[in-house]
Amino acid sequence: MRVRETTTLLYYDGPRIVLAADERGISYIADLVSEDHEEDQYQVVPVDSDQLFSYLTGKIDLRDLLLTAGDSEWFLAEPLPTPVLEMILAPQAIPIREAGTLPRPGLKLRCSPEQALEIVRESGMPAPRLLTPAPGARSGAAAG
Amino acid sequence: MRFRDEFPEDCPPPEANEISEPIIVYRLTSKFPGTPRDFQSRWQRDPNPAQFPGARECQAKGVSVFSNLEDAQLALGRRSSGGYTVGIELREGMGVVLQTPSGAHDSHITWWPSIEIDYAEIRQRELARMPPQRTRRRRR
Repeated sequence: MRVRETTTLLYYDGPRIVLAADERGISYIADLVSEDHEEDQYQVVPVDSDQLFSYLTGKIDLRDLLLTAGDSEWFLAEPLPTPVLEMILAPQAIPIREAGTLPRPGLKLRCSPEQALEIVRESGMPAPRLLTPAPGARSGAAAG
Repeated sequence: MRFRDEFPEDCPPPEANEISEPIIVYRLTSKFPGTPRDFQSRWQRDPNPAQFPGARECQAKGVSVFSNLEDAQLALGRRSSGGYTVGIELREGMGVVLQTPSGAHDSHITWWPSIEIDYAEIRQRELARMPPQRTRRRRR
């Protein structure tokens, strides 16, 4: 399965954490696990808009996101030589928690709800349910 | 201005600004004080044109710094090898810079260093240290 970067979330001498999507429109978080002088390699998990929104706004950290979203399936991937970052996903058999590639706890982003919502929308994902008012709820509830 | 790398056309981008007055930015280093190697671009560490086609070559020939310490701390936290966050002073003649925000980090700046830099003279201040994390690289 091939994915293509839609948004760079953390860039430092290269894309470190990116949001990507496959041909079916499913979104993924790809987190660079290699270090200097190694071939780039990303651990990749599928994410839904609620998980992504929670991560972007700092409600959960990167480790929690990878553990939760990668619980049923996760992948390793290396970049293809394409002008926009693309990767072929290789499914992994062992649980992500046992892979030894998880980041340390506490790495939280701090996007505003508005900024996070824009990133979610730009990725083509539906609005987070976290922002959808429950039936009968008053309108005007604050996002996030 | 002369640069330490050969750049493709329109690199650095025309909208990049020559450093004309001192600015403090944050960079991750493996040691304190950072060595010239800590100020290498991704391209210098791994000059592989096939890996950085198109616009990615220009990015790869720049050096990442942050204007916001918190953003630098987050990037440091993701490095399993640990290291340091240092504040560095960029001064006139040290190259050109361009604000290049990523989705969640508005303060990312790309710095294309000039060839005249004496790295030993870069003023550095240690701001944080992160121990290495015990991880292992997976093979597919």
